[in-house]
Amino acid sequence: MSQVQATWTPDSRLFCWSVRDPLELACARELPDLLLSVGAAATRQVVIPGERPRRVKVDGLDLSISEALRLLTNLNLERPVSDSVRCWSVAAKLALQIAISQQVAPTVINGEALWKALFIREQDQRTLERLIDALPTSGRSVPTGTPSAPRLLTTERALRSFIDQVIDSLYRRGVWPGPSLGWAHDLAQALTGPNRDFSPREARLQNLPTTFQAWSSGADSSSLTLELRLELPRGRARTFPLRLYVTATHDDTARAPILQAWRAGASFKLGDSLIEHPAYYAMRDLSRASRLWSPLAQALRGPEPEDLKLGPDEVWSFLSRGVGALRGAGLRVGIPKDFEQAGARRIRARMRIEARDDGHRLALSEMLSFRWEVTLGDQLIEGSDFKTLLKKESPVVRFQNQWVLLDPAEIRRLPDDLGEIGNLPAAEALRAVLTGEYRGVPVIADEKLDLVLRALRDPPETPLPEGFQGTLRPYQTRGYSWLTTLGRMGLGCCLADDMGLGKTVQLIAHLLDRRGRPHLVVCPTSVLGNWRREIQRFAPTLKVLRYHGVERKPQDLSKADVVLTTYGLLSRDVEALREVAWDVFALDEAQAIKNPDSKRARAARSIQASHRVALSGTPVENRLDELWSIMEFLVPGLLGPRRTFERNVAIPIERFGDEAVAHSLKLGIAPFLLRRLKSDPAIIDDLPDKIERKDFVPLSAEQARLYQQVVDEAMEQIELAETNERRTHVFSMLTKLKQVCNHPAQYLKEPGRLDGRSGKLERFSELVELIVRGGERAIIFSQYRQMGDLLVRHLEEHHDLPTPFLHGGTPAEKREEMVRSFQEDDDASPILLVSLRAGGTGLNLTRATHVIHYDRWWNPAVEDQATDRAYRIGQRQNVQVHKMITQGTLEERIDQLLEDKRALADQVVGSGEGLVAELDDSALRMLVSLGEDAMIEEDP
Amino acid sequence: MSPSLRGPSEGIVASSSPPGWAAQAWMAIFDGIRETHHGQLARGRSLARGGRVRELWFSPSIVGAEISDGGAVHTVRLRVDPFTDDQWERVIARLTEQISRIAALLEGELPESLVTTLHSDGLPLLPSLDQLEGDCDCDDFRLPCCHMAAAHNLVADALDGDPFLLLTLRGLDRDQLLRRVRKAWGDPTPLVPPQAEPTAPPPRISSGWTTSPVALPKVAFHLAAKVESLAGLQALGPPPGGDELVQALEPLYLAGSEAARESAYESRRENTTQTDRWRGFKRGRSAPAALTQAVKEAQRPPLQPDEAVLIRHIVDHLANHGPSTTAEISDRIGEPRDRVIAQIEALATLGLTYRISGNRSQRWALG
Repeated sequence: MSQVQATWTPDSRLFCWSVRDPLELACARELPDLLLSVGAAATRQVVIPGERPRRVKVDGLDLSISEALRLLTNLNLERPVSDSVRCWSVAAKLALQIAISQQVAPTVINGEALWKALFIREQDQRTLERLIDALPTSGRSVPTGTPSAPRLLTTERALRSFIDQVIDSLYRRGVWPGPSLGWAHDLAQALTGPNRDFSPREARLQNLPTTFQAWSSGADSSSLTLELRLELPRGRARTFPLRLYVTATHDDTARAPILQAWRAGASFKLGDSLIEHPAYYAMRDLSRASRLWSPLAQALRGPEPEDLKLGPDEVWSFLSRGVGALRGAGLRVGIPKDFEQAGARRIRARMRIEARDDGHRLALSEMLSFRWEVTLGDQLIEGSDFKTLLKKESPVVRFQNQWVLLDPAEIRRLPDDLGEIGNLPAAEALRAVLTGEYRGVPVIADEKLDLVLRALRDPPETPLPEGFQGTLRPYQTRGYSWLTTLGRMGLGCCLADDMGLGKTVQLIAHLLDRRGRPHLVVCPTSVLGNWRREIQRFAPTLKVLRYHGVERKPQDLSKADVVLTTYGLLSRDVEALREVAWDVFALDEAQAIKNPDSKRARAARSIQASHRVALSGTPVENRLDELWSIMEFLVPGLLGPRRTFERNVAIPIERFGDEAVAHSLKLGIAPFLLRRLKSDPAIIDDLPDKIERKDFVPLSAEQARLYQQVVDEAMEQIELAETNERRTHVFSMLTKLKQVCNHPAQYLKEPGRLDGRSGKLERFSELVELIVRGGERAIIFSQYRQMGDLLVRHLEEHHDLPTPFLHGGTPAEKREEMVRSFQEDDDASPILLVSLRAGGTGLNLTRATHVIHYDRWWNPAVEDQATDRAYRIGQRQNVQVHKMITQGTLEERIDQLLEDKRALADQVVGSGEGLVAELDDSALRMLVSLGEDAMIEEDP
Repeated sequence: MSPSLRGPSEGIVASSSPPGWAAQAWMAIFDGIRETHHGQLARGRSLARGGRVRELWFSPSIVGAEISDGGAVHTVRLRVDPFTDDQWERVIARLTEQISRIAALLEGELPESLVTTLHSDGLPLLPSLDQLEGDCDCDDFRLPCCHMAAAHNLVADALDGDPFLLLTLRGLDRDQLLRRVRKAWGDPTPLVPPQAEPTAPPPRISSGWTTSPVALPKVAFHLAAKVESLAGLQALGPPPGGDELVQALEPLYLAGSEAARESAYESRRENTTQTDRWRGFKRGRSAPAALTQAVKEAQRPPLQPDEAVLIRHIVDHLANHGPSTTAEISDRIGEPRDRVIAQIEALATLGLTYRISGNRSQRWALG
């Protein structure tokens, strides 16, 4: 629940305060930027509404208008902020939109010259109306009036006052340079800088304030809006009618010819609206319109408004200048559909981009060529016809028996010889073809390039490579074909399937398909072991080198088929890595290079490879910084230089929600990004309901040391023990080892630092991050209550996620509440920690799509029962089960034992502990000895 | 409603710019008596230029003025013969002949052509000398006395600014005239502009006062790359002052639009180490120290540890005491003046404070 409120005060400050917690605490959670703002500590009265409103004294922060603007514009709206903060943020952006578009006017009030906002355009009016409906009382709850009869600013007044003040502070930054040359300059001076006084002494100007106010309110909306409609000539006529209509401001579907409204008297019924004083408001709009496009003065010639007839030249003037000016002034304009920008009757220049002869590769370092063409709608116009058209020297001409438009500015861009060829860098050309436009000019691809694009969108199926063990699901085959197609074209690509859909196996198939030169795969340390296992499982013929550890040898790099290494070593050994001529260079969990300035990101970009691939489990399109970094790695130059991207794409989308830009971006990256969701109807059928996966993780150095200590001490005792004591010692050793594998703090039983000491915890953190970021929910199981407590602590400190913990000691009603909350509340914690032996009865946790077994019951029946808290037959969602196993330790070996037994006996085996107790000393020793891959060195 | 022109303490003056046609036409009424009343007219002119007219107001067919002359204050009344109802009907008929005429009037223009047309209709807007009457409580019984002449000078000037006053003098002010025009259009009901009350009592809701009554939908903004210059100005039509004002305002519009663009695109990445630091907050560190820390981190160039405290004090002072001199600030917060000056100027470059130059000293205020 968000607590930090933003209130606009009657004395023009933004007062920020918190409902319950101290402001600093609340800000740390919701609004850290507020604490970075320079505001003055203030104590104010706030009114709490109700049958009897109360006044309360509150401590908070007063922000000046410029600080408020800075805070509200930069707000990260992904965090949970209160409705009042959200509304003021949108109001600030509306003010910026109005200010940039110069929809402002000066006015004089009480001897002061001020700038104020105009809400003439529909989009501005509409946003204001929405804000008026949405601003909560807390956004204006600092009162004026008397203590016994407090009054609050009305919603509309608060919003208008805020927006006007923002506008005023921005427009006041101009500096009036010169001396005073008359009252206009005096006014200009009063409109810049801190001094607002404007009280002219000339008789001529005494009425100025009233006139100014009347003038600046002259476009204030009424219930009527004028509409002008341009029509095509009928029959053989050569003039274009421009007809005048009135429409209801709130409903542009109902219209009536202007004369009807004009003669209607005091009010006029139009559709569902009642318009008062129709003639007066129509005249006002018409008068403004005639100022904006002077030929309209004709309509005002007589006692009643008259429709106009335009000649071809006037039509062009109307379309090129009039329409924009009129719409910008809040008036409505209708033009024939065919005359619109992309209309069928517009002659347009177009660029046709051509691929090189070899239609299979698209080297991005090259230039692509393009030709200019001239089109009418979809139809291509021949050079000779075009020349004839040009000779007529008129923007509105008859061609092939109809009226068409020829924009002189566009035509001027064409070279004299239409056959001439120009050049563009391939990355830019590609973006142009994908988005369909280049600097305002439509773009199409020639047939060769078109084939390339079609292959990108719908790759042909590639047969699985020889030596591949296992089968791919249908969607995985598609993913693999996509990888190989783009690989063949030399185009980098990003596979961003949801977690659990098998990105690893798709990439492995791709690596196997291209044998010859070595491949490089970079991944987080915690999954290095997993990768090796998976490659061994699916492509055992590939020689894998784990490039890691103090004893790594750079000279071995080119000898393997696949080199696995970590991000740490990517930065550290970049020089050595650059020496190799890699075939495929893949980044697993590519969000690791989300910061384009980081060493690892730069290192990645500097390593040459024939095919660059990124695997990411997170929705890459949502964080544009991250997107740029990854795309720059994959297809350098596609998204342009970073500064330009930030300004022209990132800020408009993230800060201002610009949909046109978002759409264009999507088109531009579509061929390079493949993302399937678990919830895709096409995929759901291909997925098993439960995806189980074993996550093999390494031990930390500390864990390895403790583990060995335990083994040494315990084995000694075991070897010396009597039969009945032996069992006890064995079980005690197993328990201790399990604790060490979980986390040293659980074994040592001391409080202390948690992170960096356990491989399982690291991997656990990564999984939690991915799950939460994907908006999903998870249940975590641990056998141990103490480990559960440590996990709760870690989640709170490291992930800022207070997590409920359901364990044996939890009373029944509390259990029910936890379960209910997890299942139903949208703002409940997405993680639930459970530590129950039997998983409990009546625990329905089907909202979870992930189950993580932090440590395992070596009793498959018990484990499955726990998992089934989340998975139920008939459940719509797919569930992923993660089983964490430390590699090279007893956990791995016992797991293997159980698998073997299960395969043989095809029945539930009983418990792992039981099996272990029966082993003799030497078998036991082998079971618990530390394997050589148990520990992976800390990354530098 | 009578538009009242109240002068500031030093009085209203006549403009020094060359008179427009309305002013010229008004003063031309007295052409016939320029010889005979030379003295009064001259003295009237100098009283007007000297700012001795303390008050000037207009109402239908009456002008009032207060003139200070040699220690005494004289009250002047000027009267213009109003048009009869019948005459007004004919004026309205002429007006409604062309919508453009009414539109012009509402924009504060009285086209000379209209005045000429009405004149040839036998409806002169400009009165002749015998249609003027005057009253003054000074000793001079000549008509006009110098005080009336002063008032006439300013009337002429006022007409240049708002030619509508000519119609007011003939008996109908703006609102009344407009009502008659609309009546001619068949719309007799009064035009009530929406005059919203700025404040209201707190709403009578008992819960949900921090939540939106209607949820705010996702709003998409489009920041135009290319902006029509002076868009607001264009949309409203010519401002009072016409071209002269437009020219003066044009650079301000450009500067304002640019300032807004800069603000919109200001790059400010969320500093994740900051948020990590604030997490540590939950373990109970003291608030003021942490705030100072935050202020320090917010500044762009690296700061000395105590500079952040200084900034906090300066900001608090300005917020609580209003615009102050650096001496006042340094005295109150107990810091040497040169340090205060250095910090305030640094804050000024960030746009957080600005300088106000007064007669004797300069003060700083919070932006």
